[in-house]
Amino acid sequence: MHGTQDPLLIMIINMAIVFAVLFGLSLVIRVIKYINDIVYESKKTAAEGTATVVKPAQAPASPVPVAVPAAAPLDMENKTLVAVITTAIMAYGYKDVKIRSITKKA
Amino acid sequence: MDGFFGAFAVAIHAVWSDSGYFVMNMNNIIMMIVGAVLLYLAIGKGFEPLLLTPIAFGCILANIPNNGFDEGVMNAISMGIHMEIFPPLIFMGVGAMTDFGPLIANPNTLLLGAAAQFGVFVALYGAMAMGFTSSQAAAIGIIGGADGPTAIYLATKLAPEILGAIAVAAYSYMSLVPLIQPPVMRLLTTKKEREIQMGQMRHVSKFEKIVFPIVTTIAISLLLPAISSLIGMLMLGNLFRESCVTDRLSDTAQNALINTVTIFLALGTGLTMSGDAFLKLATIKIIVLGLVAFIVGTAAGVLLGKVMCYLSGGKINPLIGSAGVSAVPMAARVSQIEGQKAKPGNYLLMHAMGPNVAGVIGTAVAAGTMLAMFGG
Repeated sequence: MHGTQDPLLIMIINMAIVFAVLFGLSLVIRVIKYINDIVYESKKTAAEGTATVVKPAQAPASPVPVAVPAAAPLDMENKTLVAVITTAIMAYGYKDVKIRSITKKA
Repeated sequence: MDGFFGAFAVAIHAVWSDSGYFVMNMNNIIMMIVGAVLLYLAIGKGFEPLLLTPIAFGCILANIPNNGFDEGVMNAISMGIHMEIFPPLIFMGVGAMTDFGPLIANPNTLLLGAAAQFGVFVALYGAMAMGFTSSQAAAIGIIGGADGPTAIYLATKLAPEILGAIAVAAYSYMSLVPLIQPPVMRLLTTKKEREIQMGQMRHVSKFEKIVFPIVTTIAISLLLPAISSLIGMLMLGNLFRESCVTDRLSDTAQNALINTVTIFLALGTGLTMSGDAFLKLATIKIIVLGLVAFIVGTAAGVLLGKVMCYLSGGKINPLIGSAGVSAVPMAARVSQIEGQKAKPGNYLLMHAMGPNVAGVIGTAVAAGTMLAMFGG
């Protein structure tokens, strides 16, 4: 870049370079923002995808509350079963006995 | 007794002839008065006291004859300037202290930083017309960037013989930003323009704040390697700040380190102001050219601000253009103050920080282009 000693030319060349460099830097900032937006969007999409996948993953947990009402009739059945067995034993004349446990056969 | 008084007289004569009083000349006395005036401005008037106080004191010290500063700590401090050690270190502190978010949020403000460099090149033109060499003219012109470290950096490389005058002019005008800029800003804008309230800036993500200093360092340093130490240190300091994993380094860079280096840089600048080197016609020319550069730079920034105001449909307040001359963050504060004077509640500070940071980068780029042109 050596050569010219014309002050006006030196001034114009330098000013043009400064403007070009800073304009280029402004484009760099826009590119960084563009990349940032892409990264953010992909992360957001990934997060949403993860959230969608999580639902079925959580599905096994959800039967628990569902199972609670299902377990209730089972308990009722057990209670009924216990009552029937107790009544049958009493029908056989065993009144002063204490039933300690009724165990289902595995 | 005669022997005693004789020996006493010889000793007194030796002390006197070895003292500074014996060899002091008028230049030394004038420069000590200059130093005293600068101290008054710093302490009495509060003009940039952190810089002017050590500069002024250094000026007084430099004009004490037989001071023995060729060795010891004073020599080491002078070497820190002549070997271009202090300016990049100051830049690291500036980077650590400055939020580049406003610049990243509104990259158009980089153009305001570029426009303000017009003053640099007008002063270069004027200096060459006045008979300075192209290298000296380039070093003088950079005063218009209102960036002390860059001015010292460039002067050391291109024109070390006028380093003292350039450093003093640069720091003096930096300290006089609140006095020099407002009349120019008011002259070139209407009240309606000054009243413009700018909208909220967009949020800048951590990713952008971290990537920006890295990419900028690589892009500018590859293009203008001569300023890679300035740009690199500026961006490294900012990376310390934004990465959030180097808090201790960031804290050191923006407090202890920059304060320490400021003492050395400013004192070393003052030490270049010896009467014999400073009291020349060239010094007055440099100070005048520096003022012209500063005023033209401010005007160019405001004028481009007006253009951007027009193009944006009145969304940009032209006052932020004046912050394109570096002087971080003082120039941005001046924009804020002028905006509030026009309309209380007008908050321009963060918007003005964009061109202010752009000005720092722009001045460094201007220095780089001139180093590429004139060598160094």
